[in-house]
Amino acid sequence: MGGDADWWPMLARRLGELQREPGYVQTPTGVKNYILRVDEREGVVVLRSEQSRSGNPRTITLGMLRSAPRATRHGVILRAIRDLVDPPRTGWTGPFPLRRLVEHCIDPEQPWPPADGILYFVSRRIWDGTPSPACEPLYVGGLTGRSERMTTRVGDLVADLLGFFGGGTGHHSGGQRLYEWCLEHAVHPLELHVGWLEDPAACRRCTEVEWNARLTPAFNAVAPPACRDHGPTPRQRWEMIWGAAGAGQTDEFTMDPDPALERASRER
Amino acid sequence: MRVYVDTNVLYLILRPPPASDPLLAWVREWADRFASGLAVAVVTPLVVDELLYRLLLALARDAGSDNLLADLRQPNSDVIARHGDRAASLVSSVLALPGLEIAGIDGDAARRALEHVRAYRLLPRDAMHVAAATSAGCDVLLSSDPDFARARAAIRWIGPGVTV
Repeated sequence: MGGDADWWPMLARRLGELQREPGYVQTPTGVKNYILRVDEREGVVVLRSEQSRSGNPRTITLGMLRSAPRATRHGVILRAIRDLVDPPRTGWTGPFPLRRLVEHCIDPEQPWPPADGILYFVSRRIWDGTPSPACEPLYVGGLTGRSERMTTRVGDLVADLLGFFGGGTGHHSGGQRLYEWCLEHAVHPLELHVGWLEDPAACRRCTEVEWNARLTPAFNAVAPPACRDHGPTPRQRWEMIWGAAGAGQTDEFTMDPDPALERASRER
Repeated sequence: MRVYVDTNVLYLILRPPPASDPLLAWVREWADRFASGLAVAVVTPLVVDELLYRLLLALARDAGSDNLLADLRQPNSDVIARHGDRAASLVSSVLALPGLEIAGIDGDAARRALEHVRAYRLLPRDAMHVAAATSAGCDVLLSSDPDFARARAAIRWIGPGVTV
């Protein structure tokens, strides 16, 4: 982002785009704040948060947005919209409705899954910047080998997602599962969204493990194993301690605990 | 976001309650947040002490001890001999987690804790947690114990059912 003088016009423009599609700003914890009004001249944004600190929806007015130093006092929502204006580089491209990719397949302006990409992703809904569980993740496809074949794998996926498999043959098992799901739920495959990740410096396996864990896509048959070279990811390490001391009982630690535990704690 | 993590949260991660307990979803959500880097978990030696002690009790209880306090206080307690290594290993795994930071407690925090006892009618340990959390620059204090809500002038408490 540029200096303080630039930040509000850029932010206002981005908020205006977001107000049209998808209509909201999402905080890192997943709370949607619907954009009701963006007043560029006054430096004011009015949002309707679906969940305030009390748990109920409420309307929030952010003011003083013409001044970046003052605006930073507005906390988590403002940080979220600032990230949207000047997002950390993520390496993600998309999402594009599959319909658009197919219709624009000979359009040189249309971004296309690159051969050396490391991850592709299918979701039910649109996402912004980086995919999150809110977009209804359906499938994460990893490219763990050295060959540069992501374009081909996305093509395999699309072929089967559109039903071009049968007779005991096919191209992509995830695409076939998605096709069956589309049939069952009367969702046209061309309405699904596709994005991909490029990061030449990243470990392919670690990246696949990380995004599988973050998105928990519905149609990945098995979670990928930990990377042999780098060991468990941060998420896997947190997962490893989950339940490591056995199963607890309701209220074991706090209110109305096991009498022996409670007595020991009080007498300590 | 820097989150001071009370002992009960880490304990619930190590010993998750049954699925019917609403605390399960709450603690799972926070574990996911820490794992994905959305929040930094901050603990102090107070938490380490409490977690180790609680785990010893839980492991001893699982092994069938019916008088934990007496067992713990006897000279050369068998509880420590039998469960100390396991409990220490579990706590060690927690402290090695990515996105988890150990902060210190200094004399200023101890003095502030005394003020918190008076101002918010907190138990001494809870007052010390509040003082330690503010010293460590935490934005919120995460705990299943609603007593911390009384210290809202010092730090924001987040517990089950309290949204971020």
